[in-house]
Amino acid sequence: MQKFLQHNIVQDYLRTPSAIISSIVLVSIIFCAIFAGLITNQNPFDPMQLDLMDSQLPPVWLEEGDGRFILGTDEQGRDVLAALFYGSRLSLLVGLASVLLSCFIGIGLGLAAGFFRGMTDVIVTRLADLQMTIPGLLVALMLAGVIKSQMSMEMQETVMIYVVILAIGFSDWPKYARVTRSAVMIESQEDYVLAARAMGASPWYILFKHVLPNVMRSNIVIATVGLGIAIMLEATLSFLGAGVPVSTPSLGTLIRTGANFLFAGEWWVVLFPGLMLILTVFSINILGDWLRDAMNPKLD
Amino acid sequence: MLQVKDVSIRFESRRGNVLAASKVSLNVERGEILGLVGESGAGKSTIGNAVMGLLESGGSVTNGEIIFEGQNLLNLDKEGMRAMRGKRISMIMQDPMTALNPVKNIADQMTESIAYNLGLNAKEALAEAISWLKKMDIPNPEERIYHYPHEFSGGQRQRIVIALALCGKPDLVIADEPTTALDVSVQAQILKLIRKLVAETNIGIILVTHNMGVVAEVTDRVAIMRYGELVEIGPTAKILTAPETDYAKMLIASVPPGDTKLHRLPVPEADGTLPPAQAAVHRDFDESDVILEARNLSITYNPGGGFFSKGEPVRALQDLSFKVPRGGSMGLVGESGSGKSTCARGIIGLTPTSGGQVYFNGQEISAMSEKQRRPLRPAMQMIFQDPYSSLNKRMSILDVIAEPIRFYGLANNATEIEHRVVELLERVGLNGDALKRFPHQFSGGQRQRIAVARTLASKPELIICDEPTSALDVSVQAAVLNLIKDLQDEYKLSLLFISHDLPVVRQMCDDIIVLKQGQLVEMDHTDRIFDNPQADYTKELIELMPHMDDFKTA
Amino acid sequence: MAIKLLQRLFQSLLVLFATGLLAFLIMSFAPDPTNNIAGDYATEADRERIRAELGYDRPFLVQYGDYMIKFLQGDLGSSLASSEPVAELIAARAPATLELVLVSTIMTLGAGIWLGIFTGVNRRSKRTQAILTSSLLGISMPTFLLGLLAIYIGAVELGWFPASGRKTVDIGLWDSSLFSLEGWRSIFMPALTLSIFNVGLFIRLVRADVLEIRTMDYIKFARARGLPEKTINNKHVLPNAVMPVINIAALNIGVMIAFSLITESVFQWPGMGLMFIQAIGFSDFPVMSAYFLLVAAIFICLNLMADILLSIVDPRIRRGE
Repeated sequence: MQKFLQHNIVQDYLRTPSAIISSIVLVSIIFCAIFAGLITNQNPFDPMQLDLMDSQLPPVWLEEGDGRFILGTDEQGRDVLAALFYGSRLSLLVGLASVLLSCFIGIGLGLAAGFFRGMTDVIVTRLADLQMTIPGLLVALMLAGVIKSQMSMEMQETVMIYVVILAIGFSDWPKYARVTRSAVMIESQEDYVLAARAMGASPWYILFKHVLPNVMRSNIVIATVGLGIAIMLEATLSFLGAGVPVSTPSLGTLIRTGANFLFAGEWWVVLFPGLMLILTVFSINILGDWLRDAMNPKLD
Repeated sequence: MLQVKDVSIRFESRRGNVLAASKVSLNVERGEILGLVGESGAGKSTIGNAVMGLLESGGSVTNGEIIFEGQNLLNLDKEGMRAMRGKRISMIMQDPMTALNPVKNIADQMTESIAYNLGLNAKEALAEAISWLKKMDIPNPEERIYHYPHEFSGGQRQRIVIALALCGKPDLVIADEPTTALDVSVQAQILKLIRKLVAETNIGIILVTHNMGVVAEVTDRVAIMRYGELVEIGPTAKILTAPETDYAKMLIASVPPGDTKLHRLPVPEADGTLPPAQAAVHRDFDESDVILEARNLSITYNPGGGFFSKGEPVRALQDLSFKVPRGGSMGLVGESGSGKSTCARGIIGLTPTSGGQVYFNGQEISAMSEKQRRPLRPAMQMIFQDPYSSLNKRMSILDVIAEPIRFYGLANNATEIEHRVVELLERVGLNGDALKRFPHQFSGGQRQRIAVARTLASKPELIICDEPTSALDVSVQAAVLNLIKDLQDEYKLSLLFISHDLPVVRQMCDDIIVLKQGQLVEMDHTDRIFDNPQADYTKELIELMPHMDDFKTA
Repeated sequence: MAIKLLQRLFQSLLVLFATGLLAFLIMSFAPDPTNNIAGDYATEADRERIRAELGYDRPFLVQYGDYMIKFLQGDLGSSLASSEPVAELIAARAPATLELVLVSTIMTLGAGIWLGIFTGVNRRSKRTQAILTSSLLGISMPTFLLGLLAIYIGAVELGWFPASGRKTVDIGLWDSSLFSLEGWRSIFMPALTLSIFNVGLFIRLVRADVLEIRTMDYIKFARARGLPEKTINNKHVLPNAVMPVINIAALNIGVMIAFSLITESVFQWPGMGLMFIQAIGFSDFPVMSAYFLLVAAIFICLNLMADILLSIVDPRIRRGE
């Protein structure tokens, strides 16, 4: 439906090499993460497939490197490359899910606050203000930490991933709520909303048919940046031990376990997951930057 | 003094290149005000910026010369151009609310400029600055000069902006829409001040404006621009009375006259010829067949106080009674804050009324619930002021116009809807290609036509027009006003027409209500109001109308 | 203006109490200490008596009020892990965190303001592009990863800095790292790590503000009056950039206090953040909630200070609009 508008953005995209490169990188990462099982010859988290004889091998271009393990192995004989793909699968999944959760809460509350004003607005704004006074990291850490402490080890295995999604999702909603609220306030002043009211349309009709499509644009931009932040936050939580358990590892847990062997000289166990993490977030941020400029005709 | 020769200006941006001016030539002499007029996108401000050497980023002069007192400004380097600015050439900005640095007081801003441009020391500069404020009629300048911009009114700020622009004693000043952001009465004062300064100091001024009234009021000569090209240049009296080019003729003809009512405003035919203006014919309708009636209508609203303070209720409209006959058109006139828009919104149900009744086709609608009102809604529709805001930018034109048809259930299937929408589009002078496109692909005038088509979709009997053309260029305004009149005749529509622009109201309405601060000032037939106003306030409003007519009769 | 500040103060207190409610709720996750005190053989009556002594039989709001009053008086309860008073634990560890944040803040503000303004004023130079790309990379690097990188390069490979821990000398009031070479060597890498993400953020925020100011009409008007570019930057752009920079700085210092727990954890820096991470590991709820509330309180104070500073600096607030 918005073919023409997107046409403009597509044109802009084709003229921005950094956006093209970063999206290609991102798509490759997502591809490797989704099809990790098909393109690696080992599931690094299936103990049956590990062989301690293969442990602590350096990357293939170093002297003791092994052709089967391009980026080397860790102390349990895990293929670092395979672990990388499986790890980014979880990182991306958690990042995406928590951003969706933030969006859902934030946009929902923002719409309500901006449209109904009055008490709803006061409560939502105050809640958002309150949470903005505490850094997201602390909120997520606190939520994840407290819930984790209430669970048994077995429960953690299965439930912790949802807890992390919940914790990150709840730490980041105020941004969306604020942007949505002010966008709704601005849009509600527009004549097309008055025109719909003059037609006799109900608030719900106006909210969903007219206002919502118009506030999505600014949310898409912050959601892109938010995805990068969520992925970093997940890695940080896992690194600090308040995230997903080691048995279902993410990039963060890989770095956490690898860090213990850093001083023994096994830098590759930390370096490659770290690079993967940076590459992912960096690409997302470049895309986010481009998207913000491309969607804002005021700049340039 | 200044000669612009064959100047072309191009803008490059991430959305492609635009030629903003092409081979423009004009000149300004000392002691003269040159009006640079044109509709939006004409490139008039761009020329002003180019003379200043202050084109927005991405813009560059690709051709021609700008010669100021024998020197080509385009050959100057950055430093040389900077030395010209302030001292030799200066600029008056459009919006006095944003032209002054908010965190520095007036003394800082003025002495800085004076000291820099005239080489005075701080003490001398301050004395000079105070004398400027005196010249600008700022009361108590010795003390006021230490105040910050936010502590002055809009008119005072514009005077300070003018003082700042002139304090370096420039020979040429570019005034970019200097009165557009101001109220009508303040506008008149500022124009008088500019006129006086030119006479006293013998400077030259390029006055960039879109307002033909302003041109008629103060300029000596006029240059008309369109699509980046110079169309015509000459003495103001000649251009306004006997323009040569088709565009200039059209532009001047489309300014609604305040002294007579025309049948239609002259708009060029398909072959470009301009039909002669015809006096209005008397429209016939039954005065006793009333479609809309307001009885003692009052609207009070609470602007909503803060957490600690309760807002004072504002009485936006008090005790207004009037009748609109079927097929007639009633004008609501007043300055901002007069309650004219509030009245319209109260009638259509966008703002709750606090007293009195509104009858539509004999039924009291002011007391109805939304449900009771629904069946009556298609018959009463509204056209909004700003076509950039009244069309949802995420909807295709088909969806925009079809929305009321679908909403009221006026068609049976998609083909029928599409058929009806195409019919409406053609009726307002657009064709069916527009269906799948989006609002941003249309010009302001086209958008307002689309808005009119949407209004017609539910086959209304009464249309409330809230300043339907005040966001449009004057030639586009003429076409849209004519369209509304055509539609009124064709569908026997009744109009409630709201505007602050008296000449427009004179063209459109049979009867007029003059409002001031929510209260009725005067109500009468249009011609009687204009030719023989009774209330002082009405007289004053008519006095402040732009006086293009002076030239026409001269 | 005084009334506005009083209003802000009042609002800040409200926010503090609301955060306090969260902290108090966290506390309530702690296991009921009655069992530990009473032992396995206590009767129900004994338990009731102990609960009454501890004040657990009172209504929820009274307990919460009590908690907040004690917090404001500096009584933060006792650690479940070590049974030491939390206030003492925090007092012992606060200097480490505060020194770390102080050094980092100086690095961040110094580099961030300067680079932010530089990139805002010189919009399209090669250097600006390089700085902007670096800053984007900076905000794409998780702090813990940077810490590991710093340890690997600075400590393992080069051996110039210690890999972890804090070296101090007693300066009378507290043990400080800022008065000895050893101390500086130990604080340098944690502080640098902590500041890099924030410098990246700071540059981008300051630049956006400077760019916005430079599009304002009054800047164009200043140019039209022939003022030199340097004067325009120094006298018109910068004074208007001060206000947003104050806000960004307040936000940033708060973020750094929170992020310091990552750095402290990576470098085993014995500050409040490390204490908090360890407390999560031990489920030591009084320590967790006290830290949480304390950081929020610091955040609130910083914002309040920024507001006061703004009302002094900005004539529109100072002289009431």
